[in-house]
Order: sequence, then structure tokens, then C-alpha cells
Amino acid sequence: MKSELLSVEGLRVAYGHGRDALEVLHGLDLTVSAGEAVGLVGESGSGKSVASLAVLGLLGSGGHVTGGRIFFEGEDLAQAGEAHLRELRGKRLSMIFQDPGTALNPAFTIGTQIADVIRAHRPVRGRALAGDIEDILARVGFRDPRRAARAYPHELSGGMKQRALIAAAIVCEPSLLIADEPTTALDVTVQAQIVALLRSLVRELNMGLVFITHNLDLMAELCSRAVVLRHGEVVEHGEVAQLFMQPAHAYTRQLIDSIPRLPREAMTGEGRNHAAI
Amino acid sequence: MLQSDRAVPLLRLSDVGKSYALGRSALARLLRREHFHAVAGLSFDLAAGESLAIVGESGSGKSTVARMMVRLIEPTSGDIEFKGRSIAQLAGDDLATFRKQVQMVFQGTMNSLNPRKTVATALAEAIGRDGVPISDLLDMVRLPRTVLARLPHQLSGGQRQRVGIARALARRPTLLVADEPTSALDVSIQAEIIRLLRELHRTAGVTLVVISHDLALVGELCERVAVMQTGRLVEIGNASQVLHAPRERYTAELLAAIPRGLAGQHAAA
Amino acid sequence: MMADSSLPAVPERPSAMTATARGAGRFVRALMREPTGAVGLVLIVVLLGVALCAPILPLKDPLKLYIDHRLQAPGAEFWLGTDQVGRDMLSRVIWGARASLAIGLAAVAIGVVLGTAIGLIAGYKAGTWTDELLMKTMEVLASIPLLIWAIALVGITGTDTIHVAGIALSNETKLVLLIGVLYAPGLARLTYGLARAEVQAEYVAARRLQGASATRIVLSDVLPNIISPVLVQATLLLGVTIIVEASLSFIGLGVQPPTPSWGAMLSDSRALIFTDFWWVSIFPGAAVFASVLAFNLVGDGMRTILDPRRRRRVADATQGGAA
Repeated sequence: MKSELLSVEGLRVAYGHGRDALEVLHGLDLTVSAGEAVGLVGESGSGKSVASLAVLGLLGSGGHVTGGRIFFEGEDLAQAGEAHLRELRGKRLSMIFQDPGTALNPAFTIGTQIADVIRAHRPVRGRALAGDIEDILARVGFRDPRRAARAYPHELSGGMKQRALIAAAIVCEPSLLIADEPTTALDVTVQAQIVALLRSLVRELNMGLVFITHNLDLMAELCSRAVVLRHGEVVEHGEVAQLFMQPAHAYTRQLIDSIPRLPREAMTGEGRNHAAI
Repeated sequence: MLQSDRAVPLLRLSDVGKSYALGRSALARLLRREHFHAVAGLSFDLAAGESLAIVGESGSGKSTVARMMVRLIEPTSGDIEFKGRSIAQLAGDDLATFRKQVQMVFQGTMNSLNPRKTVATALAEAIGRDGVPISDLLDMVRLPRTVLARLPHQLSGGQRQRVGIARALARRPTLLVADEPTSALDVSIQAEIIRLLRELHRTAGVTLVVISHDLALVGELCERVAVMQTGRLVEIGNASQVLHAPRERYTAELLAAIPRGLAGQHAAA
Repeated sequence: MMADSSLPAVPERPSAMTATARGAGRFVRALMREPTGAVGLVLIVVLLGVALCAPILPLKDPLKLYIDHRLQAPGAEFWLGTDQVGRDMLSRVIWGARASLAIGLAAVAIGVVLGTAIGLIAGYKAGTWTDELLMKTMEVLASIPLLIWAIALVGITGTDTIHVAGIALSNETKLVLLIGVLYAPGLARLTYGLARAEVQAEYVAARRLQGASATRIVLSDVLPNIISPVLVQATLLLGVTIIVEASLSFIGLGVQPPTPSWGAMLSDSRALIFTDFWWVSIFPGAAVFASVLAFNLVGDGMRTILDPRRRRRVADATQGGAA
């Protein structure tokens, strides 16, 4: 029986207070178990990013959880204090963002930034620390991890930067990783590699993954279940195969149909996976 | 002025190259003498009325090619001919005519429209004295009259992009170059814009060049596809050939990387 | 579908004069609606009004020495008291406004026009020799402190009126030109950074494709979008200029004693700041404070109203597509 890592129930998030408060998420339900990849699908304004920030307690000024619960490994994160959340972040619960360019500090090497993450949670130093860094960089696909550790962000391509960020996010082997549109800013070949990397990490680390995207095809390559968001509301959810073959909601159907496909494969959801197998 | 002859392509690129001198300051550039080649040895023809896609990843040079086609930047080698005449030589009235006939649709970021000018002003500027009447222009891109009084930040991404297309069509261009016209848009809006472009290509007879990193997207829109990699033309041909029976390995790699949804999941399991 | 009667007329081009007048009126009204702008504008109007009206106001002679009433506290006869040599503070503060405000406005105006022009040209032509030449010249200008330039100017041209190419340049004019020219590099650097980035925008490329000339693009598209920070900086410089003028009058440039100027009055009364004779320094200081505050408030208000995102908020509720 799979253990439920994350269980979001009726999550509501609003910006502003009192009369000016604007609710951007109207009750999200989402569960993720160990070793499972769940997709969170939506376009801009759907609230998908807000949901992930809420889970990590990173909503920032103005945004706050106005209702619902966020159970992570048994405890309600919505009630957790900042100090406790800081302990969890990076160690048990991690996140990678859309633009690798701005997520890395341009003034420090990759190695230094990964070291920061490790040392925040484990008392490692010196040779052991360098070894850990090299190991994780090799794990995410760097062929020369030592050189990668010494590199500055601007010396790396977009794909390599994203790999470095993934390395920093999983180095402490979190049980849950939230990936917010991690490949949107990347080329299609790099995108495929990153998705393959995430897939293997989920398998090997038995990690839970929340994969946020607006591209259903991409989501389907990785996730077994998905939740579709629109304007802050859950429009549909379920097994990915089900969503594609029998979308219950018009919006889901619209999303499936709008994905540009090579002419030969431009069929409805029903025919797609049959033809491709 | 040359008569439009079937044999003369609308646009011809002959061994076009674009190199940038490296160096932070003008002086450094003079002294260093190293170059970065954004585009090299590019040659192809564009026939009147056709739709061509130029695809490639970042750094492939596709945007540079687009800007050279509309003469926003000049090639450092080779030549581009529009209706048989080299565009690098154009000046005065000839250049003005070229500007009317060749237009560009941009990516549609927040800065695709002047943030201080209303849609009405922006379109009026584009129309000038002899362009398409503003209400016809709005109809062509399926925008309601109400957008005229709006400022760009009051429009949605899709609306801004339609205004950008209207702006480009204002003086009835013969050639329209669209540089990543849907990259900044939501998936559901992308489809609308593609449909709009396809319609304009068919009904208005505008020759269309679409720059994109999304192969599947251009497959729906264009008859011919050109693939670029690090500044060079890798492959060019009919869409059905390039996208389903590519001759080059790079093209095959690009195609293989396209997410295939459920099929991809089954394959990986 | 909308009926055609709702089609707003495509704006015709009004004449430059009416456009400017209408624009100015709209601007002032918009400014008055902002609390900071309103307070600032009123304050400026009062200050300028008083300065302009100095000759017709029933004031005592600002240069007259009332020897028997030296350092007299504010009272019935001398509303703001008298200074060390017995001059009426009230009339000196009011007359001083003319010098200080005139010099401040003129110098900043020169700096803004010069600096913005150079920054715009260099920014539009970023990366070329034009850019390098202009900006490096600005750097050279800025590398030498104002005081050194001032001493050099006084050394070469003295403190009297000089004639250059048939134009008479009084001491005050020389001062204004000097300060203005030396404000240019800072404003040029600011404008350059803004212009350089703005020129990358897609709408600028679109204008080029419409055949718009570089001048037209720079003036009608780029400039309005970057002017806001420049104007705010300019209002800050106004306050600075008043102080700068005082330090330069020391070496003979600018308003010479006994003509009153706030800066000079401040430096003359330095020794008396913490003594019983507080009025000699407080009143000119308050005048400087009020002016600087007024211009800063106006600058603040201007920055708010110049932001295009504030216009026509009515339609916002119906617009989607937010991130």
C-alpha cells in the first residue's frame, strides 16, 4: 500500500485582506504518494503556481492561505511555523522553478550553491562535502561533475542550469519534489532529457513528484494522475489515460485539442495512444 | 520595377551570413577580431503565396534570419533579394515600398506594443495614410471595437497578439514574417492564433514565414519546413517530408524529442 | 457585435500649440488629484508666486543695514528678525527666493535637456562609436569635481560679465551653465540605461518596420516611456542646486553679496545655528526645505500619474489573462 506523502484538502489562497481580498485558488484537492508523479495542469491565472507556493509556505507578501489543509507526511503545513517549514524545505520537500536563469545566484559557483543546501541540513564538510556534490551532479547527468561544480551559472546552458537546480533540490533526498514548469524555458530536446531525468529520479528515490505544466502531452509522459485547474478551480482530475481518452470537462478537451500535433497524429484523444503504441 | 514573374521567387537568400564581432566596447571589437557566427551559408527561395516554417532550437539563428528578411538587421555576407531586387541597396521610396510589403509579427511579450499608446493610436500609426481602414483591420483579426480605447496592459496576451498581427497587416503586406508568434501565449490561445494565421494566409494570400521552436505547431500551419542548427540550414522541404521522413539526423532528433503524451508514457515504462 | 456608433474616432492630429496646452491642463488636473502632487503643486505655486511678486510687495529693502537693530528677534517691526548686519530677514528670504529658484530651475532644465538628449542618442545607438564617444565624454566631465570646474571657470573668465560670440554672460548665467552642464552626465547615464533597454522592445522594432525615422521613434515612443525616473531625479536636483549655489558663491561664482540668496544666507549664518539667534539660519533653511519638499512631492505625484498602468482602471475588472 502506497503511503500518501502529500494530501491537500480544499486549499484556498487569497491575495490582499478584507474587502480587497482576491481569492485565486478556490479549494484544491490533491494527493501524491511516494514514487508517484502527479500532474497539475493549467494555464496562466489558473492558480497552479500559487498552489505550489502555498504548500511550501512561499507565498510572499499579500498572499495567504484562507482555507483548507496541507498534510505532508502527517502534519498540516498550513499551520506550521516558518522555522519548521525552513527545516523541511530542501530536506523533505523541494521545489524547482520555471526559469533556471534567475533561480541560480550568478555570483556563486554551482558547487557552492549546492553546498549551501547540503550544509543547511547536514553537518558535512571538506572532502565529504565535495564528494557529495560531485555525486549529485553526476546523478543528474553531468559528465564532468568536478568541472560543473566549479562553474558559474552563466557558463552553463539552460538545460545544464536546470539540472544543477534539480541537483540542489534532491541532494538531501526529499520525499516530495514540486516542479513548476521546469522545462518551459528550455529547448525541446533538452526538455525531453529533463523529463527523462525526473522520471528516473522518481523511480530510484521513490520520490513523490508534482509536475506543474500547461502542456498535457508533456505531463502525460511523466505522470500517472493529474488535476486540471482553471481560474483557481479544479475542473477535472483522475488517471491520465482517462483524462485523455474520456475527458469529462470541455476545458480539458479544449486543452487536449489545442496541443499542436504533427498532422499524422492529429486525432482525438481516443485514437491517440492506440495509434502510437 | 520588376514585373512579378512566376519564375522569380518572392524572396531569395543567397549564401547569407551574419557575424558579430566579439568585444564589450567598440574599441575592443576593433582590436579583438574574433567573431560569432549567428548565421552562415544560408540559401533558399521563398515563392509567392507559400508558407514556410523555420524551426530550430535556441541559438540556431532562426530569429536572426527573420530579422534579416525584414531588414531590421543587415547580413554581413551574402544577399537577400525581394522580388528580384537586393534589399540591402534599397533607399528612399524603394525602401518605403519594401517596408509596406514586408512586415513582421513579433512574439507578443509585454513590450510588443507601446505601453503608453492605445490600440487606436498604435493601429493608426501603422495604417498611415493609405492602409486598411481600422474597422476592417479589427475584423480581420477578430477583435471587438472595444479594444481601441484600451492600453496594452488592459489586454490579454491573445488580444495583444491579435493587435500585433493587425499592426503588421495594416498596409496590406505581401510577405509576413512571424517570429515565434505563439511562444508567449497560453496553450489554448496558441491554437486560436495559429488558426488566424492560417486563415489570413489562405484568404489574404499573404506569403507567410513562421519562426518557431515548436515543430508540431508549424506542421499544422506551413507547407514547407526549414530546419536550422547553430546558424546553418540543416534541411528544407515539404512539411510532410521533413516531419515524417526527415533526411537529416538532427531533424529526427528534434522530432523524437516532441512529447507524445500517453504514447511516451507507455514507451518509458 | 458592437454597433458602429460606438467606434471611437481615430484621433486627428491637433496643432502643436493646442496639444501642448491641452496636455498641460490635463497634466495639472491629474496632478491635483494625487495628494502628494496637489500639496507639492500648491506649495510651488506659493513659492514661485511670492518670488515673482517680490518687487511689488511692501517689503523693506533687503540690502539696507539697520545697524541699530542687528540680530533682533522676530517681532512687530521685523517679522522674521534681522541678521548679523541688521538686514531684514523677511525681505531677504523673499528676495532670495528669486535667485535660488531661478538658478535651480534653469540649471536643472539645462541638465535635463542636455543629459536626456545625450542619453537618448547614445542609448538608441548603443554599441556603436556614437555611444562610446558620448558616454565617455560624459564620464570625463563627471570625473572632475564641480568645485574644480568652478574654480577653473572663475580663474579663466573672472567674476564679471563676459561676452562670448556676442552673447553677454553674467556671473549668474555662468553659474547656471556650469551646474547645468555638470548635471548632464548623471542624467545622461540614467537616460542611457533606460533608453538602451527600451530600444530592445518589440514595439520599437515595429515602428522601424513602419518606416518611422529614428528621431521620431526616440521622441515619440522611447522618451515618454522612460521620462518618469528622469523627472523624479530632476526634482531632487532642484533642491541640491540651492545648496550647490551657496558653495559656489564662496569662490565668486554666482550670486555675490550683498544680493540675497538662500544658499549664501545659510552659509553666512552657520556660526549662529545653535545659538540664541536661531532665526538667522532657520528661516532660510525652512525656505530651502519647503522648496525641496515641494519639488519632491510634485516629482512623486508625477511619477504616479505618468505610469500608464494607472489610467482607465474601469476596464480592469473585465480583463482576464493576468499571470
